[in-house]
This record gives sequence, C-alpha cells and structure tokens, in this order.
Amino acid sequence: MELLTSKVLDVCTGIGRLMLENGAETYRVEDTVYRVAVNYGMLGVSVFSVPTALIITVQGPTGEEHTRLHRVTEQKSNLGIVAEANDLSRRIAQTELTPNEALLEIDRLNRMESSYSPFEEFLAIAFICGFFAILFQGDLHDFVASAITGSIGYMVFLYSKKITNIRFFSELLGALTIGWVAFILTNLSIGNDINIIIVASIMTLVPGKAITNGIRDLMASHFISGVSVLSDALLTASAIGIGISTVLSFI
Amino acid sequence: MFFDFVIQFGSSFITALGFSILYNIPRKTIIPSGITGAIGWTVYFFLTVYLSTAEFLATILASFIIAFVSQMFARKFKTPVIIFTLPGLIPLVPGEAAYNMMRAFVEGNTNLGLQYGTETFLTAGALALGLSINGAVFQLFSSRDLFKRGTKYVP
Repeated sequence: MELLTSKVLDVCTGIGRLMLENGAETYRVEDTVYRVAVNYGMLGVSVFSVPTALIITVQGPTGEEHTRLHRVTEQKSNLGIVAEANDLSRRIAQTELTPNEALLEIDRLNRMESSYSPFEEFLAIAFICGFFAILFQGDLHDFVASAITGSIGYMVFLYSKKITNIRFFSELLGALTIGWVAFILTNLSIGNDINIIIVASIMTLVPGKAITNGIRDLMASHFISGVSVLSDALLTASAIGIGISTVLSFI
Repeated sequence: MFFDFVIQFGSSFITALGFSILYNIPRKTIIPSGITGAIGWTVYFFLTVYLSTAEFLATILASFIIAFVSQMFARKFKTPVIIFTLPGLIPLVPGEAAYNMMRAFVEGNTNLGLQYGTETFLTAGALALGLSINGAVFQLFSSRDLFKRGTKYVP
C-alpha cells in the first residue's frame, strides 16, 4: 500500500491543530500526532509542539524526510472538538481510515459549531457565578448579585474580545465592569458582601485552566509549553487584579 | 451538618456543570462531569472543614479522586479523560488566589501578594500532583503484564 507522505502530514497537522486550538495539553497533542503518523507507517517520527506551533518530521516509506511546521493562532476552549479529534485518531488506528477520508473528517470538525445556544451559555455563566457565591459562604443576596454581576462582566468580556485582538484589554474591561456593577448592587442593597460578589463573579474570567494545564505540562517535562502557559495565566490574573483594584481604589 | 453537605454538593455540581457547558463538552457527558466536580469538592470540603487537614494534602486527595472518577467515566463513555477532569477541577482551582495575588501586588501589599502567590502555586501543584499520581497508577495496573509494557512516547 503506497501512501503519499504529504497527505499523511496533512492529516497529522490537521488533527494536531484541532487539538491545540481547542485547549488540549501539548503532551496529549504530541502523543496523538505521533500515534497517527506511526499508524500510517511513517518511520523516525518526531513531534514537537508548543501552544502556538506544531512541528513534525517523518521519514516516508522510501526513506526521504519531510518536515511540516504549522503555526497556531486561534485559542478557544472547545473540548467537544478535542473529544472528536481523539475519536478520529482512535478510528485511524483501528479501522485503517485512509488519509483522504481522515481529511474529510478533519474538514467537518473544522466547521463544527458550538453545540450550545448562546442562551444556554448565558444561563451557565449566571449559575456558575451565583453558586460560587454560595461555595464562598455567601447568602441568598450574594447569590443574586453575583449572578447578575458575573453575567454582565462576561458579556462585556466576550463582546470586547470580538472587537479587539488583545485579550489583556478585554479581560481588563470585564474586570472593571464587574467591579463597578458589584459596587452599584451592594449600594442598592441587592448584595451584602462586595468581596464575595467580586470573587464569585470573576470565576469565569480567572485562568484556572491555564494554571492547571501549565503545571501538568511542566510535570510531563514539556518545559517551554508549561512556562508559556503559566505566563499566559499570570497575564490574565494581572489583568483581572488591575481591573478590580482600580475600581476599589475609587470607592 | 448533613444540610451543609447537600448545599456544598449541589453548588459544586452546578458550577462544574456550567463550566462543562462553557467548555462545550458533548451533551451526553455534562451530567457525569458535574458529578465529578461535586464529588471532588465535597471531599475537599469534608477534609478541610471537618477533619482540618492541611489544604495541600486535601487538594492532592481531592484531585486524585477527581482523576479516578474521571477515568471511570472516560472508560464508560469512551472519551478523553480531560472532558471530565477540567470541569471537575474548576471548584478547586486557585483562580481566586491568583487574582488576590495580583491585586495585592497592584495595591502595594507585597507580603500579602507573596503569600497568595505561594498559595496559588502550592494548590496548582497539588492538583497536578493528584492527577499525575492517578495517571501513573492507572498505567501501572491497566497493563496485563505489569513490567512488559512498551515504552510510550510521552511520560
């Protein structure tokens, strides 16, 4: 069976890009891409990936070497696509999907939209912020106030992210909004404790995923990815911290 | 006390469920990932509040349990483990401490900032440690012949 090496590289970078863009850890991406390449009979496979790029070198069946570098610019968190890409790599291993069929599948995944409507996401954000207030020992007033504050803040963050491509700025804007709305709501005595409301409302912006993934990358000895993901988390945390303390210094 | 646990379990269930919607995980798996998060947080809550365990140890144990439950669900639903661990870890993740750290630094309280920074990295390390321990244990015991397993590309 003669396989075109460049087609195999297309499949490898396609799957790798899908996983990197949608928030998989880099060691998982490298592992999956490696398995796909080996399953197509490539020799001397070597994969390297950081959150913004993917490099793969293989040796084709006839002995010639091929390298592909893929730059990743988008960053989303769509774990549904990660699951589908994982499923795809498993099918490649089991049923010998040809590269052309796999490319069609990758194309379909590329066009896959979010499986939840904007209203459902809005509800999810409101409930997350509200119930975090209860986890932080707040009362019913804080629950209502956090739900309102958190959803307004996240909406501001989302819309400003669509306009500008500097994430730091939109996070700062979101945090500023949260600070002001929390202040207004406590003054209207809808909420009780402004600290609980603020902490619960920023939970959707806070870089929890990045912190955990960064340390996991470090533990899997992917030092470059780990450090870069952690610095991303630090940047987000400082945007939120600056935003909130700006508001609190005015009060 | 029982009522306390019900409230904590329910709240953490809904936060984990909400984050699984934000992360766009497949519809059939959002309930299990909510349960994962609720179990992890309730264990953490019980250990820190009623047994007054050190937070570092409680976090390791909670994240180990989260990873274990996630592995079970991942085998049942045939999806990657990350689908369940990421929303499940959310109530434990030190996002609040990271924000408090930066806020203290910005406001000039360097000592307080360092304190929160230490907390952030200890908690994040504990979470990652629990996950890694669970992964290693699973790799060790899921192979049929314990030490004849082929070498993996990644650790």
